[in-house]
Amino acid sequence: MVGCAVFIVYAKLSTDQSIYTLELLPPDKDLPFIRNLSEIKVIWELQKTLTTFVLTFFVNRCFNLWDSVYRSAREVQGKISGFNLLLATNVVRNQDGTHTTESEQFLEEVGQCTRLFHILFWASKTKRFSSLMSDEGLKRMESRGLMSSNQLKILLTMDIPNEQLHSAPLEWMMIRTNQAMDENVLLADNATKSALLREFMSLRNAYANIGNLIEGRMPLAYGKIIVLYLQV
Amino acid sequence: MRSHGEAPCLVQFVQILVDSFVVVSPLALYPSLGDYSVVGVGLITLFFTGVNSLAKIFLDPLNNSAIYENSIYFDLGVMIREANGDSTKWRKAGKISPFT
Repeated sequence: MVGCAVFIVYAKLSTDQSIYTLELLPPDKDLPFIRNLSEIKVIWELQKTLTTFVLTFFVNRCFNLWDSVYRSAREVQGKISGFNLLLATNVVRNQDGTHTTESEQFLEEVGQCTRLFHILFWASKTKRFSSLMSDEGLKRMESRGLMSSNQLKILLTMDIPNEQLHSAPLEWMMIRTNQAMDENVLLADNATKSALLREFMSLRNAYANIGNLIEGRMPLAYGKIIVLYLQV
Repeated sequence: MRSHGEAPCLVQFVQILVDSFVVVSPLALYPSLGDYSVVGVGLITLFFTGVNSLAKIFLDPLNNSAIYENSIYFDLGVMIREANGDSTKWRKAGKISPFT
């Protein structure tokens, strides 16, 4: 708008108008300066159509990406919840309908693995939580009860990049479940096992999808330069 | 899913398109609007650059690029807390079965 005001002052000086009065009517179109500007308007009208169309398309594409990532994030939550629901409804119970001590312990241990997986997964995808993947971050989580000292020791000595640490608690979820089936803490029939494996692999696919979406998007380098330029 | 990354130059192209459109607008609007072209240019700048900024915010759903402060990224803290709650919800809900 400031640029436009400066241009208006320049236009008024070029057409011998007073810069101190506000003209209610458009300038005389027969003036050479205004006639030249009218020709620019023809090009501008063409660009208006193109800009509106491309911008609408661009916003639509970007919103689709945002929506896909959001849906995938919710799917990860849903799959974790579904896995825990399957376990909670298929563990062995006492005669009075309550969980056995082993069942309670098993559900708590798997629940803890799901919490750890979810936190480490998002830490690997966002700068905001990336410090949680560092040795200091992991030790801090252990001190707050998010993992056992044994789990911390395993994660610190693991021979995989920090961005993939979430793979460990994901596997622990299924390993502990298989162990519970062997110990008769969880129903070990084929149908239950099949349903659990399906939910487990769906979880894996859902979280891998988020990484694919983020890594496949358009780069923002130019956008950053423009924002920097505007701020300066 | 690949379709989201099919046009790596689109961000730059749209930015250049919008910027040139907005920059030229004072010249194009002055012959028909006169002094009031300031208002017209203001509205065009607001809506076109605003929609372009919105698109770039959508393009960075986790706010890793931090292009804009206070942009619409997911509040992952809430999502993590929801999942934490879900991890104990089913155990607590099914703690006692009425079917003995």
